[in-house]
Amino acid sequence: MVTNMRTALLSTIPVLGLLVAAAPGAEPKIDDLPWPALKSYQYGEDLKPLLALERAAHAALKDATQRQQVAQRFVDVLSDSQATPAGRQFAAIQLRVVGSAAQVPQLAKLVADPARGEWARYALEAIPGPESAAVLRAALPQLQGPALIGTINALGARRDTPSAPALIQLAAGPDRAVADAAITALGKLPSADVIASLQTAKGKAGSADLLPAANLVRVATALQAARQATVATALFQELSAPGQAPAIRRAALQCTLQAMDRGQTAKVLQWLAGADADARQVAAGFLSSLKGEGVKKELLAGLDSLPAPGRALLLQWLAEQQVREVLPALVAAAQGNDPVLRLAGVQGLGLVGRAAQTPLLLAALDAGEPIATAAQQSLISMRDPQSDRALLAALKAAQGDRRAVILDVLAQRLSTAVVPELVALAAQADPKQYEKPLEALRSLAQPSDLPQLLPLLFQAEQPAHRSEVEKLLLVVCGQIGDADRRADPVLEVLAKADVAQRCALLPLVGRIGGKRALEAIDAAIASQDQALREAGLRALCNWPDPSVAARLLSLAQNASEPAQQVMAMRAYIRVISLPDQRPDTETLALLQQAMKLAKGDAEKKLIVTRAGAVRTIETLRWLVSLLDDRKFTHEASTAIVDLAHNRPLRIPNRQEFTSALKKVIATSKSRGLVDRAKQYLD
Amino acid sequence: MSGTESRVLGRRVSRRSFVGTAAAGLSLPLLIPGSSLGLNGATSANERVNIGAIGVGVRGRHALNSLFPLPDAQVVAACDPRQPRLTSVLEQIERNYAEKLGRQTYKGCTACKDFVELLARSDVDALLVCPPDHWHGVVMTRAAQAGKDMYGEKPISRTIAEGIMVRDTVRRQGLVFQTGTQQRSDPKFRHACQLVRAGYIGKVHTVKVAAPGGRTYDTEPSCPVPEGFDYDMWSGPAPYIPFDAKRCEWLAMYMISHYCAGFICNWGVHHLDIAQWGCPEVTREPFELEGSGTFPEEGMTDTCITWNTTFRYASGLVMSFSNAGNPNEMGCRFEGDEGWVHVDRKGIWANPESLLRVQFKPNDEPLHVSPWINSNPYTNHTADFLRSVRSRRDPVSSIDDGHRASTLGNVADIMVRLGRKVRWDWKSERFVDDDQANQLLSRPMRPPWTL
Repeated sequence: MVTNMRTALLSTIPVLGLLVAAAPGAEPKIDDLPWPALKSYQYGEDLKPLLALERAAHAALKDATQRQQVAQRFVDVLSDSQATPAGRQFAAIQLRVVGSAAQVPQLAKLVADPARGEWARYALEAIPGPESAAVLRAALPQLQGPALIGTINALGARRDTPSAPALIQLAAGPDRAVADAAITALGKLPSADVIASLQTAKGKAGSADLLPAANLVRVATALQAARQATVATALFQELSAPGQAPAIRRAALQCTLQAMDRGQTAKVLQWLAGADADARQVAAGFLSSLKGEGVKKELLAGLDSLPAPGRALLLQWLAEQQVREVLPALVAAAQGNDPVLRLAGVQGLGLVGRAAQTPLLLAALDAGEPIATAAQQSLISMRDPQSDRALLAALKAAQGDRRAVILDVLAQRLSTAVVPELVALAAQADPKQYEKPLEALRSLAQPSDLPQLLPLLFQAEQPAHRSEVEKLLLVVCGQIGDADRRADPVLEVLAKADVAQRCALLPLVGRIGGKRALEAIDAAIASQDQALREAGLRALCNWPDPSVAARLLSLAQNASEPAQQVMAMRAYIRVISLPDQRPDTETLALLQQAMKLAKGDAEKKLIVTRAGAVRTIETLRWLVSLLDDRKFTHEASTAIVDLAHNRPLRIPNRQEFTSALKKVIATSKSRGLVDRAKQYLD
Repeated sequence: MSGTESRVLGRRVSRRSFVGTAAAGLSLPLLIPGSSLGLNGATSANERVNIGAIGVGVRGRHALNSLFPLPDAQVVAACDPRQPRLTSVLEQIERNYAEKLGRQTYKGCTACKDFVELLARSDVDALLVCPPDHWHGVVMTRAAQAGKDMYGEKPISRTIAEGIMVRDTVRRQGLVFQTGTQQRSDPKFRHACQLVRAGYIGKVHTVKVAAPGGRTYDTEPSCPVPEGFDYDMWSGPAPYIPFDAKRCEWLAMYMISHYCAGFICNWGVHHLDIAQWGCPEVTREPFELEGSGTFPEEGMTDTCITWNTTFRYASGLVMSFSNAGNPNEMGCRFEGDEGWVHVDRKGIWANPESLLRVQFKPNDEPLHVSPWINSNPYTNHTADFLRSVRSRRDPVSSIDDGHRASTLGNVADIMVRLGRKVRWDWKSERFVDDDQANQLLSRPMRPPWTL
């Protein structure tokens, strides 16, 4: 997503010259606007004249005379039999904004016109005043099919009460699609006649068709809001009766609760206690709608009398509301045997629990799913810093997966006090022991912790361990805002270190980068000590940007040791394919040149793989040319799929990508790669 | 059912398609069973929620991928107007479940081309709703009328009027709705907002928000619709425009106003939502909005490219919202009289820096915490949705929050289009004394689609 965002941002830069500000400067005269272009506008043509007209329409809103003139021009285009469909459509959409009663007579003539009626209706739907509504109503008997449905929809959108009798007739008619449109429109026009009509439609529809019932709920809700409570209540009762469709029944029960003046809390408790699953569901969802000072107290008092399902729901809600008095009930639930209650208790403790409940939650980690995961979540979210101490004690006693879970919890709790313990754990040689502490430290450690973190680099004996420590140190140094100062804490240690320690520190210095870091690396490369020289070279090969590319290329060709040449070449390939100001075509040329210079197949494969990040169509063509070379088939296939991921490149070159991807699908033995390739074929 | 058709919420479902997609449904009423909602008194803690996916393009696939690691849900149906895409996604879904079950193959997810078929499925409890923006209002409203809980992509709607309809229907039906503003399930965004809500930066006086700007696309000639693509269905309630190879594609469709309000709303919603999470006043109190934007002058797109807007509130609070770098930096920055915090997807920064390591206290105002499944906020966001489906409590990004954030984006779009100051009232959800601006609250819908 970040890449896509960046692409979107960058892509705006070259086109800024094409943009216009919405806030108008000197507006063109109405006669000078591109009206002829609108009249002849065809779908797929450049939007330029239309965009100018839209701006003019918005600008004209400030002046009644101008607005009238612009609106008249649009309605003239809409009426013109020579105007294109695309031109008429655009004119109609603009008339929704600038049109007025003055344009209605012209629009009225078009409503039944097969070619222009839809667009006239678009405009009439939005033009305020009784004139436009009257035209739409009058058109109903003349229309059929989509034109009739659109007109019904327009009257519904206008909440046009006088159209109700006609719509009621249509709702009872034989054309199902028309009847459905009428039923939907009637749902916006509450009245006794409408209710009767919808009830009839509901009776005919049967339980499979929810449309009339859903609109009855809508009408009843509107009546309730209009203080016609008696009719509304009767409807809610009818629709919430057993045997109604569950979706409708739950909606009616919900509305019943909403409509109650008093006694809502008691009703919610009653439904939570009952055997009616629909009512219980509605009651649970309604808890947050209950208002009043005594509500929480009343609910708390009713908690003990509830059976497990309702009790669990209420426990969770009370905890979410930070009702501290629910804590004993949560503890009891979390210690009990009922799985639903236990889950609710464990979840609730994460919201209102204190340090004293930490052991209980730690014990729940052994309870199996889903309680174990809930316990972990609760340990993370429990807002009592004192819990850290209990967690730390548990960490020391824990082994294996349990240790990993607790470390995750501590990291997410931002428990910085635990850093020294984590450092001690991260120093252990066993990957199972150090991996999770290092991961936690990546979240928790700060630059001020570097003095205790850097020795880890000297203690780590295995390359894999050292590499993981380096990654951690890189993250922590990266928190220093000034990029040129990021290596400073490491350089300070380097200055006092012995040769072995300096050899351990230099690759990290290279990864961090910066002016002072490069000076230290140069000094090491110039050293008389071979180990230091090699460490300096490794540091240079770790450099984070392409600024050292020329030096690396020179080393790749001239270094005294073949191994050093290979290392430098790999580093060169890496840095030239990093994001840079350089045009992609230039980067591709550099990679192709490196292909000629590279001596080993491993380096060549690396070049092909890295080409997947160079987003040009020429890259695709080059990669396709490599597909038939067995040595590079896999790498070229991977790079092609990586390129295809970039939609702005893929879509305009769909044909070439489709052909390349099909070849990848046909030849690749990697199922994952084939799956990815297929995703980009559509 | 009568004749050869069944009628569900205003659309026809042919018997042939029913037989093909819901064989078991023929002998069952087409109702929501509520069986897996965890509330029928016989709840098994491991009970699965059956999911239907509407729209399986770029966003839809992200949503599906976020669901796969979660054991308590299963995708049983998917729909999309592009048959090749649907087939490919279906294969992916079935392979995923086959691998989970340790089988060679798995068949248990059916394909539908029309979402109305999917809404009629009694075995679908909840939905992932991820079609293009111009479909959100219709699909979400109808899904709510059918009683389905939803995970819905942001923005809630193409227009403010549609958003109101979606929200009201979801609330009237008592449903759970998770908006796809998954930044709320990312701990660093929560930490930033909780710092603000708990007063760690003092009284907030300024909020600065930025999202990626839009872009233009050159005109594309019309061409035949690819085989297997129901373009008429894809167009849905938007005006029907002859097909070309670009308009339905990510990213171009986000830049065409028939389908989307542009990144000012579509992308802006993410960080505008964070602004309201940290500082609820921005979507509770009326405001004046002024500023400017730039639009394409040619090509095939017509939505805002750059914008720089200022929201002013009676309390003195100011929120500025621009495309990234114009001048605000990407993300959301809260400035108070005792410090500031800035958060975006790349990281979180604060002054004083110690705020980044604050451990909140029992008396600090809590914010909703989504489950932590893994480091992918999308998965945690989906897990939060599933948890809410069971508990019936609002998830972290409720329909109200999603609608309000979408409204901020849509109001900003309308203001820059009009090129003048507007005033917005949250209570009436209309512009104040501004009929012209209020005309832009809705757009026409192509029949038979309506709300």
